[in-house]
Amino acid sequence: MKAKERIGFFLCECSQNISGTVDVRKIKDELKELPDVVTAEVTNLYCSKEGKIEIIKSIEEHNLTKVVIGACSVKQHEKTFMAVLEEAGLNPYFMQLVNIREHVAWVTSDKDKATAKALALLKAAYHRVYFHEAFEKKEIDATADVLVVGGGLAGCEAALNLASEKRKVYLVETRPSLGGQASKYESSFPSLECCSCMILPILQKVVENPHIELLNYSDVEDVVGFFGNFSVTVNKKAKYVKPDKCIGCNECVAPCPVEIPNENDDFLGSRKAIYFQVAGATPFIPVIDKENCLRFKGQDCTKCRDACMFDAIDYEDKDEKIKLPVGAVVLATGFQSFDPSLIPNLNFSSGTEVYTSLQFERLISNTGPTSGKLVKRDGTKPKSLVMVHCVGSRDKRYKNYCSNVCCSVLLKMSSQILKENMAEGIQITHLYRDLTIGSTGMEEMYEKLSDEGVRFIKISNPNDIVLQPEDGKVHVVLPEKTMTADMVVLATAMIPNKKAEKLIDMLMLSRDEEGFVMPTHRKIDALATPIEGVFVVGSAGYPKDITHSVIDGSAAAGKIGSELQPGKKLEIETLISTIDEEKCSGCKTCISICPYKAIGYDSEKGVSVINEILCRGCGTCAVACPSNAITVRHFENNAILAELGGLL
Amino acid sequence: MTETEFEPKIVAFVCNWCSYGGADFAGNMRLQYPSNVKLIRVMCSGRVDPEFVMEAFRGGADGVMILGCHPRDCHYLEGNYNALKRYTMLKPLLDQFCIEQDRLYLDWVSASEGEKFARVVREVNERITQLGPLDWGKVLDARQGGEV
Repeated sequence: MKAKERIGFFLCECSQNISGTVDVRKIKDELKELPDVVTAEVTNLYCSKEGKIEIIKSIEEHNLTKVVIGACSVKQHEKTFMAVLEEAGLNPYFMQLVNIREHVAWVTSDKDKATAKALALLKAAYHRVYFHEAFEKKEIDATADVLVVGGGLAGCEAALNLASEKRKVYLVETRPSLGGQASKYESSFPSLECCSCMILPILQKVVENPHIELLNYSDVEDVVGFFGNFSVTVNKKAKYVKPDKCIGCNECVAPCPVEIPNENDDFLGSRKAIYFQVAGATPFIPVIDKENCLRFKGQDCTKCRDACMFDAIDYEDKDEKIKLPVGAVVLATGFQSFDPSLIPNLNFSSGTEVYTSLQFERLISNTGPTSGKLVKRDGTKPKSLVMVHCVGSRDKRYKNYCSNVCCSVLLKMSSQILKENMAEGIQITHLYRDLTIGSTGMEEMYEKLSDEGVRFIKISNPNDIVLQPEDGKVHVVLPEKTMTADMVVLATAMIPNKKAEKLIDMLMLSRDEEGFVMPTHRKIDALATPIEGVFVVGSAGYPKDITHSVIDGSAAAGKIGSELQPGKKLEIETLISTIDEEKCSGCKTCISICPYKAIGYDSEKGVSVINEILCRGCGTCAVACPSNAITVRHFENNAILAELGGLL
Repeated sequence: MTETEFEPKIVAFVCNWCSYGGADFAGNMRLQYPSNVKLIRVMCSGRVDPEFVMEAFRGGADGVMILGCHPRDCHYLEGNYNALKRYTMLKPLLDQFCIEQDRLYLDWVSASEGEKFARVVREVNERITQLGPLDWGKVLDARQGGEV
């Protein structure tokens, strides 16, 4: 049954670390007596330069076919000794490293017991190496081009950092223009710096970068393939405006007879059917919203085309599907606001003086529906403003988490109102549970606001207050008292962008209980995902502010840049699972259990097929396979059972 | 051999990423634990086939341990959950073979839990020692006696 092997043992004394407790010389003599063992040697330190040379010489001298090394942890020196075998011309997998230091010498004070244990482990390894097979490193062709989905700041930053002479970036944005949520804000915290001034140069760089293909007003329809070799189908929605002719003069917009709620203002203001996403949008070219345009509802309206002086309106424009080969995907799909109407006691509905924080951002923005004038719906200036923190947050009934950003946003908006004197003598009151203002400069902002008379009232749970809108005012009912405000702002939780769900599912990514994309590891690998080559940045991963979204974008670019280099092949995991087609019954059990979606189905052959690029060799499929058709390289059943048999 | 002298044979399947590291850490801390517990490294606790466990009992093990990463910590995301499912399924089946359920043990040991590694090894060793040797003669007699 066993092939004729020439096996060598190398027992390390690790100075006294091993030999102080384990009698390696006695073991050596016993091991020498085993069949097929041609040498058993002891030295002081096999990981030293001299020690390595001893192993290499012995392998050559004795013409060894398999090697068992008794030394330290595989974590410390498995790679070291694999390299030694390679240098000696042996396949690196023809070796088993037995940990007789951490797992024996250091944990067993009784010398006889330690020696017996070490001997048992070495014998087990001896039985195992008969089943060791040779494996070679494998490389595959890959494209270094990258797809970035989402043109917010995280996505733009990733695209800018990735794009180069040798690497093309496709930036897909579902809306007409770039900038994401940040393009809605007038100012940013803590400096109250003008947000447009801060972000527009970044967006402009994206548009001007020759290595970024901007696919705005487009959607990802399909993604197939794997790391290094994805194929993406993108639908470029018809814009009905020729980008090469339009100069962004805005003449076409006013004549449009359609008025619909403007999603860019979180439905606070209205827009036309032909529209710019926001004043100063990048790119600054309008699109015709087919859903609402009268022409596409069968009416013979040509008002926008009549107004256009550049012949830029093209009603015949069509959707266009394109296929893009990319090596990696960056998901930067962002967040949206929690819907406060889900909290019944807040009585949230449009037309009242209660606003979400995103709506309020628009209300105090120069590009918003009131051109930055802080006024109530009746046009009068508010004298009192109540800001409610944690709406829908930190509450098991709604969203359990803290969005990290909202407290700072409310402080920022308060500061902006006071600094710009947007409403003379306004009394601002914050109702909060805890203040989460960890960013630089926010503590100072809080102190300044307190000094300026902004009231901060701590309440047990903001989600329990009752709001009663009445005649352009809002009664805010707290357990102890009721106050009346001209306007109320709700700092609603940041939730994952619902429009991205289909894509997330298409990429086979997992979402946590709140819907955010699960990374490989929340702390130490928070941008990579279990689907190799797919990265998640910005608030698609969890709520983040601008700073952290931008950092994410750069960091993901760095990870991709180091893993996927233009012109270079990808080295793939050697120790993966393989399927014996003869034995596979095609039951697909393995497909459902694989955490990396690395197993597909060959319907012609009726068997499961492992994608060797995606498989990471955990081996859970091998256990699940009812036909024993799956083998895990280097951890095959017979190797493990041989080791087990040797131990017992 | 008297009851107090009995030293059980215990095999512990440890995952490469967490529990093997936990055992390493126990070593670094020089924590002493019984030498009759011997480790077999697999890449993931999800690689531990119930067949390996049964083969261990058949081959003479008095106890078998499966140690993996803590829930949510699995290097391969879900392997430890699969290990848990298989363990939960296998455990009651042991009764059918007249193997006491307590002879099989599953736990989570992270790479920083040297203390826990040494502790669970000691505890399981104590428990198996109290159970005594896995007596296959008794097992077979019981089966033939129709007790199963």
